[in-house]
Amino acid sequence: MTLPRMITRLVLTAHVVTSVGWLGAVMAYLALDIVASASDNIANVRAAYFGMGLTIRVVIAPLAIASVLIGIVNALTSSWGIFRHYWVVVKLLLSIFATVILLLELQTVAYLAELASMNAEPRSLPGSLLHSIGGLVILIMVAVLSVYKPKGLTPYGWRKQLRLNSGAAQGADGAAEGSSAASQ
Amino acid sequence: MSPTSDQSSPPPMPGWVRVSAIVAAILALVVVIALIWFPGKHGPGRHIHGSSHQPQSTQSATAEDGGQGI
Repeated sequence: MTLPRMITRLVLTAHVVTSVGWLGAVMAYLALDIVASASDNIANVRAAYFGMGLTIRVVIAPLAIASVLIGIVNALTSSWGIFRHYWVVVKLLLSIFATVILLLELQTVAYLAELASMNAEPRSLPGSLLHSIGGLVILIMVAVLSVYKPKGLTPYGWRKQLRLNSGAAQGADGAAEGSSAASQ
Repeated sequence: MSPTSDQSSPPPMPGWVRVSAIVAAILALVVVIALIWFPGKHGPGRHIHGSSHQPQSTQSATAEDGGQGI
C-alpha cells in the first residue's frame, strides 16, 4: 500500500507520539503504584489509587490502543510491512500482549480505586506493582526494537524481497534491450 | 541476509529471535506454574469476588492518619 509521503509522515508521527505517550504514562502510573503500595499515609494511598484509576482509564488504555492500531497502519504503508522483518513481528506481538493485559487489568484497577475511596484502610489493598513493572519492561523492549531494528527477514519477507529483486532485474533487462534496439 | 546471497532457501531465524523465544517460553512456564501453585490470587476478578476489603467508613481512617509522608 503506497500513500503520499505527507500522509505516511503523519502516520509515523502519530505512531511515535502515541507510543512515547504510552511509555511516559506507564512511568507516571508506576510512580503512583509505588506510593499506593509503599506509603504509610492513608490520604496519599487513597489519592494514588484515584490517580491510577484515572490514568489507566483516560490516558494509558486509549494511548495503547491507538499506538497498536496506528502502528499497524504505519507498517502497512511503509516498506517494512508487518510480517517481513522479525523485529516488526516481535514488536507487534509485544504491543498486543501488553495491551491485552492492560485491558484485563483495567477493571481491577478501577475497582481498587473505588475500594480505596470507600475503605477505611486502603493500605491493605494489593496494588498492581508487578503489572506496572512488567508493562514498563515490555514497552522499553518495544522502544529498543524500534530504534535498533535488528536484522532478520522472515521467510515471507525473504520471498517478497526475492520477487521485488527479480522484478527489478527484469525491468532493467527490458530497458537495456529497448535502448540497444533503438540504437541499432 | 539478502535474498540475492542465496536464493535457494530462506535465511535461518536470527539468534536474537531464537533467544527471545526461549526466554518468553520460560517466562510463560513460570507464570503458568505460579498460577497453578497460587490459584485465585491473580486475574481481574481477584479483588471482586470474596474480597476481604469491604467498603468501610472513612471517618476512622482519617482520624488515625497522622499526616505521615511516604
